[in-house]
Amino acid sequence: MSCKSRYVDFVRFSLKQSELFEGYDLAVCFQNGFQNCFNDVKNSQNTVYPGTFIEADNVSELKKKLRRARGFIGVLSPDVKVNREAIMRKKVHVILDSERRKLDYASVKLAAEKDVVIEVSLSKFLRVKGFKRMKLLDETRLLLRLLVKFGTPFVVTSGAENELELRPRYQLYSFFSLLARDAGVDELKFLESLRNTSTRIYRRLVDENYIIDGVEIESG
Amino acid sequence: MKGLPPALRKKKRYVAFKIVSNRSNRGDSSPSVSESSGSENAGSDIARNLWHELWQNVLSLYGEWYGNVGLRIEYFDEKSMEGIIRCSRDRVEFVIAALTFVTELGNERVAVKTLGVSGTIKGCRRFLSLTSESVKK
Repeated sequence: MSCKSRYVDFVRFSLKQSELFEGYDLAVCFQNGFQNCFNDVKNSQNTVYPGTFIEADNVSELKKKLRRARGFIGVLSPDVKVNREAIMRKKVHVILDSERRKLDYASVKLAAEKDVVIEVSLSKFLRVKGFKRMKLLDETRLLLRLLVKFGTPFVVTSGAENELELRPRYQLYSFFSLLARDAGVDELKFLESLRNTSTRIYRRLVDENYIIDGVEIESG
Repeated sequence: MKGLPPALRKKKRYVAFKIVSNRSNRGDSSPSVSESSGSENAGSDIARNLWHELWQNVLSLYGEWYGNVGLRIEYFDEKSMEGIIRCSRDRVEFVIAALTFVTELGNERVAVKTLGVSGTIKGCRRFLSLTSESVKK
């Protein structure tokens, strides 16, 4: 089994090539109707993988959209109930992040049990300023504390909607490490958890030998 | 305070950065090269705007209590849009976070990419794509 750490970024646009996309092994594009880069996965150095993006305002809309959905599914919702329902669904892999997303204590705990990844993105901070950014930073500090406390799988991403919202991995991780330290979270634990989740997502999407955690095809 | 022994002087770090904009992605950039010897007399509009935007970010993120990051733009090259910022050693991560939050310079949307951190300007040169001779000592 290869132990090399892999780094994944989630974006909301069809990423082609950017000098700001640096230090990642894979970008997952969560965008409505995105499926044009599927063939790039095995060929290019900075691989791009199409994710299935579901945006829902209520539970019935979520259920309806999930019925047809396939692939690596990410759900984005401003409603706590919808996010909790999404976490309980077997099909959902990621709870996506935006400045409108709301999560509660129970959802974070549940996500740890159900092995659903929680995304924490940088772009939400770039789109707001002042009081709203202050509130977001405070919420994110608390979220990071809970994620580490419960061992919930999480990943920090750029969450970029355009090229200029992308940031190199070093810069992104440096910012979130600072925030985690500020929240009183053990930085090493935080980074290790981050690396593990990121590597697992990468292997799940790209590694042909990977089946589930602990089960893989041995080559040779 | 002047005349402090080396052990009591503030330790510095130099952060190499690059400004990425839609203009630079298209390949057109200003041909003039300018050097800024510090924030007060920054040689170019972009450097001056960056310095202003950075201070705004530092003050809005950390306030007056933690805002003393010892910021100074040591060098900026308009052609390659790369430069070096000096800050105090204890606040490097604060400055990198503030750089991350720079999204607009003048009226143009940009992103600032940090290339690397070093203890000396000489060490910082290796992160820049331009020739080392052009970097002010």
